[in-house]
Amino acid sequence: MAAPMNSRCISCYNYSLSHVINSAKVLRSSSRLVSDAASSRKDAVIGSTDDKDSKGFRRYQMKKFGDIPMERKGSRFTAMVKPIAPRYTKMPVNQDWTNVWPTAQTFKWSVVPLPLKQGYLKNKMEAAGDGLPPQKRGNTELIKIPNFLHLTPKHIEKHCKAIKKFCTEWPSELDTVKDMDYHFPLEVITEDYCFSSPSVRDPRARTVTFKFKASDLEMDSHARDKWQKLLKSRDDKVTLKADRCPLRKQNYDYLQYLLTALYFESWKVEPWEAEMTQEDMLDYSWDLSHSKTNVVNIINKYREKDQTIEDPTKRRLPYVSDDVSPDTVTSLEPVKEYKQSVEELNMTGENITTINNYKESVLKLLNVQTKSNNSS
Amino acid sequence: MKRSIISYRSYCQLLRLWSSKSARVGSSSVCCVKDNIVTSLPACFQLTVPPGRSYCTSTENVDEEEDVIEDDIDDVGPTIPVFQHRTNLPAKFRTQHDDPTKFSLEDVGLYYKVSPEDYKKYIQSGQWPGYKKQVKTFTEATVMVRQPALEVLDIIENANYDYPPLRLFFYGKVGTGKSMSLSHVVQHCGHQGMLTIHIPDFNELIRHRTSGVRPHAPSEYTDGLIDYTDDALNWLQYFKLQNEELLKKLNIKTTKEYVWSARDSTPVGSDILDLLSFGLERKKYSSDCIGAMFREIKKAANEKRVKVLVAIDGVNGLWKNTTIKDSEKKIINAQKVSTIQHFHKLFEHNWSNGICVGTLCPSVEAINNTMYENKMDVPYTPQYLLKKEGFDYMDPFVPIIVSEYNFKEAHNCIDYYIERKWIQSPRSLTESGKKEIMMLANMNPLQLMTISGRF
Repeated sequence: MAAPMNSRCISCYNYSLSHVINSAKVLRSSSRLVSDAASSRKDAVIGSTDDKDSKGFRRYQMKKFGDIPMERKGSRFTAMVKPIAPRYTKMPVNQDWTNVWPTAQTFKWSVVPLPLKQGYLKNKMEAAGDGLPPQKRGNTELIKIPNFLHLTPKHIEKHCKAIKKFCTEWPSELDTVKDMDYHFPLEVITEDYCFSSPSVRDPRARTVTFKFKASDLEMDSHARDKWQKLLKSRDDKVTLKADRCPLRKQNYDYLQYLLTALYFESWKVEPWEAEMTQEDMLDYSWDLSHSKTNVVNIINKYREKDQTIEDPTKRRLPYVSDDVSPDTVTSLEPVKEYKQSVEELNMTGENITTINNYKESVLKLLNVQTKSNNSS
Repeated sequence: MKRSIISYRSYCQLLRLWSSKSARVGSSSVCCVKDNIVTSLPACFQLTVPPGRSYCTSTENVDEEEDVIEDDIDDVGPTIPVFQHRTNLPAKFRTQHDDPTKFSLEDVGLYYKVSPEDYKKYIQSGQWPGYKKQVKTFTEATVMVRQPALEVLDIIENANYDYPPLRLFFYGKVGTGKSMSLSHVVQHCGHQGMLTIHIPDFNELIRHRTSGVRPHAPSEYTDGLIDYTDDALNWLQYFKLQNEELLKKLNIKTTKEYVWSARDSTPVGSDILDLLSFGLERKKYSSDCIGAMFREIKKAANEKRVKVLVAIDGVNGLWKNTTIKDSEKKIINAQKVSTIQHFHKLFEHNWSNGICVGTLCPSVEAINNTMYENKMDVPYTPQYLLKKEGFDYMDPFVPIIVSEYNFKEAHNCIDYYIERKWIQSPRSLTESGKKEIMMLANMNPLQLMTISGRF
């Protein structure tokens, strides 16, 4: 453990030494006056002759950024060297960012002119004084995360400009998404890969994907139900993906076959499907439910009672005429309303609206009389 | 429990600040007199009451409140003598009369007094323990007239009884007053001369008893069914309490010979009260007696001799599991219990001249259910509580929601508690104090009843 530590220290030392010497040279060549180091102070900077006022007094000048105060002349540590200012401080405001950050690269704190903070403080003592997460300078947390500084709108604009010469004009008939979906209901997705290697083949290129909407296919309620069961999905958007065959053409053909088979299979009605009950259905259907039998029973009972009453105005269910048979009971208007409310109750769930709708429809179905009804 | 009270207290302090400010903004000032002053003041002293609120409450001792007598005296309004302050005041939270059959929509939110006999007969069983305690403390039983009960009574009064019975179900959150509304309906119908078949608390039939297993025996009449012995007997007693006078008047005779055993039998043409007393004497046959009695009652109803009200508190319990087990140690469903089956069959469409009312109780659903820690969490919607089986059986029914108190009802309730000195703390006698209680209780009748005890 000790050895690398030492070597690291030495290298640091070497680096700093050479750096100091270099900067000292620069200082000497660039300064306009030969400095009188003995009389100069640490914080006072020697001014030029122009800096004297009319009476010959030297003007006091504030220390500038990057100025190196002299110290201990003759020693190895001739000056306290400050690091060169980071690049972002010298950037003009109206620069072209795409030139600064042309491609994807890891974060460089000295290049990005944004006051970023990232990281976690274990306690408040770690904060720089503001109590906030560490700033960007030397912040490894910012290096770890991906950045999208190479994908600004300016970048995209440049990319588009570059590839525009390869594009053809968009057909004016396909202006809206609706038009596109109407004219091209089936979307076939394949991917090409190009790279330099001994073989130009890529196994991923054989994959074919079909995307379409099930609602674009012509199906009745039974076929749609079976389609959903075959796909095990109730989603309208369907994605079929095949990579089982070695060639793309084969995969494409297979998907076409699959789509055709699925479609015609869902239209088929097998003899065992007649035995299906409400529980086997994906959606609630009132016609199969117990609720329907209940209603048919009760309306028949009411009707039998009604038929014994001579005066049609005194009958309980005025909407039921004499010739209504148990089979045609469901075509009556209040029954239809009731059916809708029960379906709503089952499909959208129970809430105050659906329950109230159900209540209203039951009151209408059984023609329940109340005081307000009678008075009106 | 203690901890929650403490949190109430601290929260109360915050709320008091809030409500005292909001009360001032609303400027609904309350006139007020301190209790001990009332007696010392001369009788001629008149006190103004703002229209709308008739009950006088005190604020003088409360530092935060600024409503004092002097502020309100100059106002023009109806005047009430101060000496009437406590009990003689014809306060607005009581109905004009106490006849349960004659309430209209104008009486909604007002309390009516129930006579002790009626309380014992119709209201008492099945209510929350807190309510029973209050009745004992207040030395009177009162029930608030509420809109859902009137809605059901409206349907019951105007129904056509030539047809199979309608099914009307109350539903609503825990503690909103479903059972109380049902009791009101039962009391109304009892006064109207209807035969009432009332299960006041279905919880009691299916829940576990700490004293031991619910007494039961295999059914004598049908194989594979179980009879509740004690519960059937208790219910027969309750039925007798409610309907004995009416049955004596009706004089219903049995139409079939019921052979209970080699020795015991009820011959054709015996009175239905004999059947009832046989069931009360012989616990073994109590459950079968219920079935036989219902059969006779249905027949009498079909002949239009009597109107029948079936009222079951917690209808969704008809399909719940009970706590008793069969010989194979399997829990028995309520459908396998003949005592419950008899009530179940009353909801069928094969008879007329009756009406079926019930409540859908989340608290019944919460029994033996590990899904919910608290019965307040159970959803209260009808289809959820009835489940598929129950919904298929009961459909089509009329669901009637029992919601929380509205502002007027809550105000009347608190005024009533103040009148009965149930609420005594000086700060809660003010308008802002009332608001505070309402907010803490979230207008829920049960919560209001519980919380008001702390003020």
